[in-house]
Amino acid sequence: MGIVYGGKTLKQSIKESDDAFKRTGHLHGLERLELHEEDPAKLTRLNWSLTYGCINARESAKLVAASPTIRTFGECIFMLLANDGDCVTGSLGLIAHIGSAPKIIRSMADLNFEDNPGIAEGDIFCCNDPYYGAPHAADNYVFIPVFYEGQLIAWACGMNHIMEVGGITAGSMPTFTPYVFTDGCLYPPMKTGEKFKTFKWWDLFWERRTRMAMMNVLDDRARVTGALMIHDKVLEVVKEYGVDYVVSAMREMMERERRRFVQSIFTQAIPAKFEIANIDLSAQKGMGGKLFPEADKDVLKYIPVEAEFLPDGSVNIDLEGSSKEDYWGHNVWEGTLRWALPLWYLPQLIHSTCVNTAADYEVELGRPLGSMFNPTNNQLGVTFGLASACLVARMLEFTTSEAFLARGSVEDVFQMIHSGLHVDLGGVLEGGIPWAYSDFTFWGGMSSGARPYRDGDAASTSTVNPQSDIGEAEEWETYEPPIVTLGKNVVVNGCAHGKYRGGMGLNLTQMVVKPGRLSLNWSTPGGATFCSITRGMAGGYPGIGALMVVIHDTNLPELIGAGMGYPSSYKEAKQWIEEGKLKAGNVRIMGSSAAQVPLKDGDLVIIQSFHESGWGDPLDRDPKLVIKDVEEGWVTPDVARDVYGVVLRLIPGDESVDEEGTKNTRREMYERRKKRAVPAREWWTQERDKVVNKQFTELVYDMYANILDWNKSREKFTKFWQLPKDYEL
Amino acid sequence: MATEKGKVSSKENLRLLIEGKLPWEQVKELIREYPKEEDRFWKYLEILQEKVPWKDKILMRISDRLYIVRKSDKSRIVKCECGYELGDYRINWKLSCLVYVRKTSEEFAEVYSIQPQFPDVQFNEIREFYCPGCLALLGVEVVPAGYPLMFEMLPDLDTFYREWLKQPLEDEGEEWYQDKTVEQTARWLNDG
Repeated sequence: MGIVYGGKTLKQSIKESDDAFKRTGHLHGLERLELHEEDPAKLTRLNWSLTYGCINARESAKLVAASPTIRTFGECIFMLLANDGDCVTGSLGLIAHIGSAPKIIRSMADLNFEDNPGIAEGDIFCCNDPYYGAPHAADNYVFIPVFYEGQLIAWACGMNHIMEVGGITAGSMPTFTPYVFTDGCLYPPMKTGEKFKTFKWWDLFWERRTRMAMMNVLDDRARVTGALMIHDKVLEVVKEYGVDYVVSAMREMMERERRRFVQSIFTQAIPAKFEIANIDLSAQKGMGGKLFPEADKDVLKYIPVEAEFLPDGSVNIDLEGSSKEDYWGHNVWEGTLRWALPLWYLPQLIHSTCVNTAADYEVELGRPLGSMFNPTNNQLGVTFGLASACLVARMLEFTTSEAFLARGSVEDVFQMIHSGLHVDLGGVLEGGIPWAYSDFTFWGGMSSGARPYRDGDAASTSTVNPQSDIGEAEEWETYEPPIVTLGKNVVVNGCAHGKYRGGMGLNLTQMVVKPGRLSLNWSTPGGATFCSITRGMAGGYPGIGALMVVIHDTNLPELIGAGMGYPSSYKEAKQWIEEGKLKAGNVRIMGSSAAQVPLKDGDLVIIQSFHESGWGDPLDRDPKLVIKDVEEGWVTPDVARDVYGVVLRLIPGDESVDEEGTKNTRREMYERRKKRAVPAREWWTQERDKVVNKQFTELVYDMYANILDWNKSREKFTKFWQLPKDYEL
Repeated sequence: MATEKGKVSSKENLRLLIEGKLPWEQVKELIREYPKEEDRFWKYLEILQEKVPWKDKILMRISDRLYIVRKSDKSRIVKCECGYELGDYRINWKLSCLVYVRKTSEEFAEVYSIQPQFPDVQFNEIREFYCPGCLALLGVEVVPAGYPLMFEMLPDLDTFYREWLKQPLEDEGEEWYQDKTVEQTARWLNDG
């Protein structure tokens, strides 16, 4: 006799669900939604009781935590899972994280947790290990089984991104992490409490294994608090509706949402094949040294996505050709990839505030064995696997948008390249207090790409959290004592251009004040070295990755003390340095990553976030939009002219478009295009010659060598260039 | 104020949306409308057909200026809004374009405005694909030299029209949903 409602074991119950779907194409074999049909109002009322229970849990849990990520951003989510692990509904917040929860439950089933340690009423389980389904060490899940009269009817789940994971470097996502042993405290599914009480040893675990025990213990309490609230809510709802009804209703909700996903594909998209890729630099050379020579290298990380929307409304995603597993933090297990998918399907295809994982059943993932998406070695680092998985979601957004445009769902076209921008700081503050934290400003506030009918928006969204918030500077400064915010503003000219331009990039300028011994670590897949996602839409330029600048040995404290102000952006800082006003010893400009940069009093730390992608030909941009950007101070007149061909009359009080000048300039720019370009055949012939002779720079060579190791990508590469059969790198 | 279902998704509003003139509040209403109206695709095709200066029947729009059309000889090709024809839609239309490749920092700086926050020339080139007819910029790739062209989208037109729209195309056939790009590059190699 198993614990699951109806008498099955957890393993049997999951298998039964999977078999039913395979057999019928409907979740739980539900060809009819009887409860929905009989009394839709009753089911809707139940649905919203459960959803609001999750939302309420999150709002309360936020008050228990100490970390600003939860308190300010609400970087957490609270979910109700069915007894087989599927996420049925959840709160606002980190919506992607619904994707991992079912995988962790399935891991617990596969590990026979029902026998050992047992799953009983009052138990508390936790996990953050990607090998068992979680995204990475920073994302911690609490699960509380919901029993009714001794039978498991659901799981309550709370998760959040913690500030410090006890990794090789301080913060929540160590920049350099070739192994799970450097990732931080990864723990498989574990029972961390019983009788609704956390074990004492679990607090000791956070105290001994992480640098910010206080924050992490309270975050754990926040997760437990929210999960307990959901647990109690389910039992309250069972009292009102009856247990049979509630269990059946949750199953129907899943099947309803699965149908919604398929319906969206049928009504908004088209059946088609799509091709897109992401290439960015994993810059680890110089970081591994004597300890990790195998990881001491730069590698071009390559993620190709071939997506297909099939006639039956399901989706195939093939990642063959991806970089192989390696000694870096970019290895991705299936749970992490499933984690990313809701980032794509929830905003684009599931028009419901009932967040759920039903769509997972309609998405097939091709993860080649030995690639970064299906490692053979489960001891390789995983911290940034979720960023790479997020890039897959971003690319699916592009492809889905192309399907929308083809279908006529023009309003739903959306693009964004941002996959994460991460700053960790750690060390010992003045006064001897050990301290570590992650700055989440640009996780909570990102810009969006252009649409076919309007420019992208600045600071309007978040990759991972629809209820995003860039946070209050004062709250961040409370938790990051040595950091003072000097400016948050838009980067002038900071967009990828197009008929509609991308949302403006954002600048965060901070000053370091008496830091003690503090170091900075920075990582962003798709740093400025690359465009990250390698193509634009409809002639718009692809967006650009982020940039970090640290200016050491300044005289900024003296300037401020003398009442001379301070620069509030990178542009201003550069200007002040050129004018001789601001002294600068060492100016570090960092693309994709940097590790253990020591900070000193008076240092300037500046981040320029992603510049999002454009749409359409810049020469098609309405001059009225260009002049508006110039008037706002977002685009300068020289860029207006040189990129958009728009000439402006800049008489103060009488700024206007010089229409004749614009016409002539645009004509000249078209002529220049004609002069510079060659027919594609000529380009292909010349480029083929270089490919045949293997004229690649070192890292590019290695990337292509990897591509040739996979059958499908090899065929694509060699056949496009018509290479000899024995072509090798 | 609630909008009567169907009104916000009128043909006129769809036209305004395509032209970039529909007010944002109404765009948001369109986004929220679920499910989409059944005749959206047909309205869309009508508007597009009225917009283009040529008569070939549009089967599908694939980009801002690019359409798959049926010619009088029954071929299905990609056609630019200006009228230039970019060949069989099963062959990557980029192979019919004029191509300009930016390789130096100076060339990159013409289109990416912030130094040093732009692609590293050590690893990247910027490929621009222009229509040979009107010189419009139809596509951009930022990739290492030697990377094969990306075929952005190959629609399964027959399945779409037959199974999703329930109005089959008259010239259905399995061969329509095949990527024939490498046949083009093979011809180039053989022709020398």
